Amino acid sequence: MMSLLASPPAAAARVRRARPGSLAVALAVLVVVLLPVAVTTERFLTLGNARAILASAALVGITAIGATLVMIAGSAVSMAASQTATVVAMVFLATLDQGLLVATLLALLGGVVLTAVQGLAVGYWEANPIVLTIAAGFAIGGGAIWFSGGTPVSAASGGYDVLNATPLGLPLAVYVLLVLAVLAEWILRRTTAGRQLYLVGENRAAARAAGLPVGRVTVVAWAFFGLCLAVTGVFLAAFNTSATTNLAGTLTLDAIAAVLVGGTAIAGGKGSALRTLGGAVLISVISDVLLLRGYSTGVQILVKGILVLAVVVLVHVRGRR
Amino acid sequence: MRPALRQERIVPAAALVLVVVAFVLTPLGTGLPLTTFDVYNALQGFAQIGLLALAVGLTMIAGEFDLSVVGTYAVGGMIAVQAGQSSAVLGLLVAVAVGAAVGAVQGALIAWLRVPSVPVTLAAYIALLGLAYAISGGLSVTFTNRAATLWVDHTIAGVFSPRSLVTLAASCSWRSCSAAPGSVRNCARSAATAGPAGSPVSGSNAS
Repeated sequence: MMSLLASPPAAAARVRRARPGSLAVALAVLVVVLLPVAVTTERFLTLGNARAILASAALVGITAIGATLVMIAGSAVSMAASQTATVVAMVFLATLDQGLLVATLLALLGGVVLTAVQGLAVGYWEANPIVLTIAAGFAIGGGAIWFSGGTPVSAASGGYDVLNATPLGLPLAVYVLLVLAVLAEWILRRTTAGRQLYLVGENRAAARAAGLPVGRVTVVAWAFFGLCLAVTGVFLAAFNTSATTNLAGTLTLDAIAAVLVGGTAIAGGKGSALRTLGGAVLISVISDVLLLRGYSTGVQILVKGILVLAVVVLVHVRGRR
Repeated sequence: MRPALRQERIVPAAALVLVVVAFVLTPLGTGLPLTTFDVYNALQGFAQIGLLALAVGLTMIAGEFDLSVVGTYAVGGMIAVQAGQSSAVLGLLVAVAVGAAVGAVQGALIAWLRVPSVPVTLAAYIALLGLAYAISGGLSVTFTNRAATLWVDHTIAGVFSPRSLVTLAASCSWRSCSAAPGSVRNCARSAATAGPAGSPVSGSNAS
């Protein structure tokens, strides 16, 4: 575009400094509160429990890593995560008779295409991401019912057991989560595409004026999110060995909760994949402590909601200064 | 301004006409004549989501987005049942008060602290679902006051019920309120013209 007119935005230099100080303080407060409660909880400090925490954070975490990029790019949130992961899981299971590799590639392709199309509408046509993804969620969920005929889709053949492997006692999904988190962080910090994500999220108009390919950057963020969703869907399918239309459950909300607890701002331009990883693990730890102390599922969900609300308000109030 | 305004009226009106025409033409597909019960049933369906849609619509006109309505709806239902075992009216009053309080707290965070509405209402949604789950213990709670349950859905003039009449009344009064000076709609308009746009996820960007 008109790159001659616009100098590189001055915001570029400060965008990537995300006020670690204030968040570190918040984190310290939380650890001071949480740590005594956690260590005095029976069976908390065991290897088995640590494994359980990581395992329960893995699938939500993988989706949340992708959702982080979408939020940083200024596209807020996707409300269609559960449905997309479910459809991907169904595609994976139904095509397993073509071999594990083909089924996985088809599933990944499906997730990337479904999600990138939504990114296209947001990036190029300025569609409101929330309204768009609510609609897309209905369409994809309807697709899942149509695809499955309303009945559970079972594996067309075996061969998915390798995905349920637990090297060193941890589910494979945990390693994939760590790899994806590091990869996403590297893309965000060290590549041009990553820097452009922050710029587009910080100020779309300025990014466009500076000649950045706003549409393309947005689509790349959504495509990466689609990849993460597809990986989640494949692991869900392998773990459950069959897929029903509500396979992914509350994945949409859980993933967004992890991103927000990680301190990523909803308006975009700030955030990090590693902090989202921290958010996912933190939610998992708190749910675990509540579970071990005998609180009901309802209380666990309630506390999660209050935690997200507290972090959102804190990040916003700190961010304004 | 003028064409935008006209579009704002024509699109919903056209949608309504389309739905009514489709409804009247259903005998062509089913081969069965329309009965007054069909109309009653359609209005019951309208009552089911009408008030929720009004709630979301109100926040969207103000340029925000409330994702928590379904959570408030679930908690409201739970409370109405729990507090209304002896008196349905008491249950209703407590539920409405809690719903108003839940909305007011979120509104305060959004308006005074200027926190974007999407994460606030999303967090509230999660918390409210947890609360509904905690109140009910994850089981469905039965309302033992049969008389009240039957009254809410009893037919009036063949096609209406107290449930659908309340929803219709709320829609109509809301319609006249939103056209009044100082209404949410007009506030949102003047805010949009006065200052820079707030969040990138605001619900109703006309242009």
